[in-house]
Amino acid sequence: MKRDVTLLNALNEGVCLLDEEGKVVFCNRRLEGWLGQTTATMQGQALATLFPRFLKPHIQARLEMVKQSQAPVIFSPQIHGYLFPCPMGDGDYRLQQTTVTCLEDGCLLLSVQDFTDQIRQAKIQKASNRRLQEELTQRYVLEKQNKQLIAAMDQAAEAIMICNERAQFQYVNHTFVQQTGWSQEEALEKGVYSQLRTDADVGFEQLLMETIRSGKKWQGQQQVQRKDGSLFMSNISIAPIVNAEGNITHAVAIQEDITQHILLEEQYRHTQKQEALTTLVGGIAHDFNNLLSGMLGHLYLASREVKGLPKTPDRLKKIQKSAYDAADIVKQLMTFSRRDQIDARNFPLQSFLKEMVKLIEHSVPENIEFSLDFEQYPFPMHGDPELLQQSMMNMVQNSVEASVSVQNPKIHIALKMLDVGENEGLIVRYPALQYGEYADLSISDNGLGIHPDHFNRVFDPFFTTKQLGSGLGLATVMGCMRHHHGVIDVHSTLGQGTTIHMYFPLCARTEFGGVEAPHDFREVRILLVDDDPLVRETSAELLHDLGHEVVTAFDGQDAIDIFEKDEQAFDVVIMDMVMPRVNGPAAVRYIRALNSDVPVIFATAYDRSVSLEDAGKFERAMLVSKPFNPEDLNHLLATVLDENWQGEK
Amino acid sequence: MIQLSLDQEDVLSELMNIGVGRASATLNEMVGHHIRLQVPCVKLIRKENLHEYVAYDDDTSLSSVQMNFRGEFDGNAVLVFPQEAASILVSSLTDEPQNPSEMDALKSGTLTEIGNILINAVMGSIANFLDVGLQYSVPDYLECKVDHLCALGGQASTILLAEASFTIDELKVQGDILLFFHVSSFESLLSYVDRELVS
Repeated sequence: MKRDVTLLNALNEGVCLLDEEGKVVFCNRRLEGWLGQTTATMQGQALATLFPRFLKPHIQARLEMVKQSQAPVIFSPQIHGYLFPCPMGDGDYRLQQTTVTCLEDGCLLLSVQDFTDQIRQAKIQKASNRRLQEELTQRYVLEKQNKQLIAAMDQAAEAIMICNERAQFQYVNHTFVQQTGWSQEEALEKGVYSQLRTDADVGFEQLLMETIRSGKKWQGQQQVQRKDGSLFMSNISIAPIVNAEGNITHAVAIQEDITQHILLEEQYRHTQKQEALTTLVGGIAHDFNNLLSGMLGHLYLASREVKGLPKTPDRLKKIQKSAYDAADIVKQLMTFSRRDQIDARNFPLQSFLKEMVKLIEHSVPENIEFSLDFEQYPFPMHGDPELLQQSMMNMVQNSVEASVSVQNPKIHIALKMLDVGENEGLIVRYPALQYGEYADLSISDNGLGIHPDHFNRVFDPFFTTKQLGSGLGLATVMGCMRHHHGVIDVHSTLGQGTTIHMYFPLCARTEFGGVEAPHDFREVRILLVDDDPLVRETSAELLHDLGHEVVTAFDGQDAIDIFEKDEQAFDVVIMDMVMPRVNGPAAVRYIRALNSDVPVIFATAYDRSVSLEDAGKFERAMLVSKPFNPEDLNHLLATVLDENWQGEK
Repeated sequence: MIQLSLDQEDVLSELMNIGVGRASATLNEMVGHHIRLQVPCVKLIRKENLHEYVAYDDDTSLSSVQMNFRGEFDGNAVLVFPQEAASILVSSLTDEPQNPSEMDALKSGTLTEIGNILINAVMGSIANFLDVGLQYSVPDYLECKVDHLCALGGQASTILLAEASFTIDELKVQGDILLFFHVSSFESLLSYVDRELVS
């Protein structure tokens, strides 16, 4: 018996032996220790009395079953909590599993297995695992954020560089590689910015270090050198990076390539200058035009009046020729400033160019290799073929003069459709080209090229590098482009040649028409209305001299007064557009109320495109530009007096 | 292979059902949930054919509670669940949050008690009906794969297999009760059954 007690006391489990009546016979030391009681204090007492949880009916029932069936039963801690209350000192009780076995003599052996430490350990392990899991989740989230940040930085449109406090690269993004041509590995290996420059300029490093030292941000422009040695202008901003402790550890530099931006700014400035020039030239040309109207009219009349002075007609002719030359210059200036009229119609550009080239070829010396490359497409265009022809002639003439003195001179004219996909840079410069279809008409030569200092001035009126040049050739081309809502793009390298691209908008219309020949002319009665006495008197004399009956009015109201006296007195009204008191269109509206059939010729010295809108509102009306050409007047009168003529829109 | 007659099958099924009925009553009282325990059918199979009759994949982790018995007939009684189902069953009975992937010491202790109650009830039902005395080992909790289940039966070659279905409130958990017998023991069991049928 003593040996059995020794063995039971040595066990790691608690043991309690009950007699047949359920009274405590023995508790081993382990259980005594857990319970804080000795066998002596418990011996002879009923288990359920000592530990009331054993009183529960289902526990009693199962204890009874053990006796009956001899099958052991288990009471697990999760279902029953503790049966033996073994306090731990912290208010909790030990988590224990009790196994009840029936011995051969009908006594019950209760063995108590303690899970407390195991469960506590498992809980600690679980908490640790949970923390680890949370840490891993947090790390995963951070890594994901980090990856997103790196991806965002790598895919940013600007170059991003992170440098340490010694201005050494720690990171450069993909755009930096694209901008500079240095790979990420090369940049990190070179370490500092100055090592990427051939001139080893340390200015940027000093700037970075100063930013890190001062903790202030910096922004400015800096010229950056690419790996191939070329330079580009960049906008750089530098900001310090502060760590969690508030110390500046790094700096981030963001570098934006502003080459394109500068080009656009330059282009904008150039456009502004051209607009100002256009306004100035247009104003001067308009005034000269009116003066020339009077001068030419009087010259015409004087040349018919002089008799008995043998040299005077010849001198008058020479003056007249000079006046016409001056009128031509004014006309070119008007074209440049878009103040002249253009005879716009639909025509196939490719066929037109083929015909025009036959004329142009004669002006190209034989030693120049003249070649063409026209894409097979009609290129339906709405515009003024004569103006286009004049522009082409001017450009070919320039090419001839630029290339005639070089070896193996060449001039090439090409016509093709503009492919937007292949010309991304062009679209950036001229966004309008991405809308609709454009013909790309280009003239290239391998001549002297344009000096960079002259590049921005070639389209200015009267700018010329030739001794005998008028300086109006390319100005006319520019006017032509404006009239046609086109875009002109010049590429030139000094000593290598020039290529000028003209992009014309194309239309879908394929009908091509023209003005029919005028009918026979007869003598007509004319009411001539103009507020400018010089123009009015000269024109009246001119018409009178052509055999017509002319009554003059000095403004719209005067014309109305005259017309009211006899509304059938006139076959035609020639009406100035802009006049004091009552202007041309208002006067015509009144006159038409009196006589709806009388044809009207509106005369304007202003931009025809502006006046066309007003003139177009009237049936049997047309718009002509001043000054009148005497030879054209009869032709105009014959046209408007045709009974079938309905006017021009 | 011994074949069960219809009468024998009826008796064994009935004994099983009486056992699980008592077990569910005990569990109901213990945990305060409405538990329904059913054994829809009983099959007699050879140990080597166990794979064909249980629905566990080779890789499924199983939780089992086993008790040996000996006396008029010897064998081994095993209650087995897929580990995930066992965890759900224990969590539902104890109102613990479910963590199917985990069977800790507390949970395994609880499952051991459930197995103990069920096996005691089933074996008690058989022993009472046949009026035989059996001695039992203390229940053991084991985790294993389906391949190792057969090893639990030791030298036994015949298995009385019953599908055990626990329905706890809305939850349904499936497991199996396996009673392994040596051939001679099973013949002895049947002779007792036949004796009772005659009387």
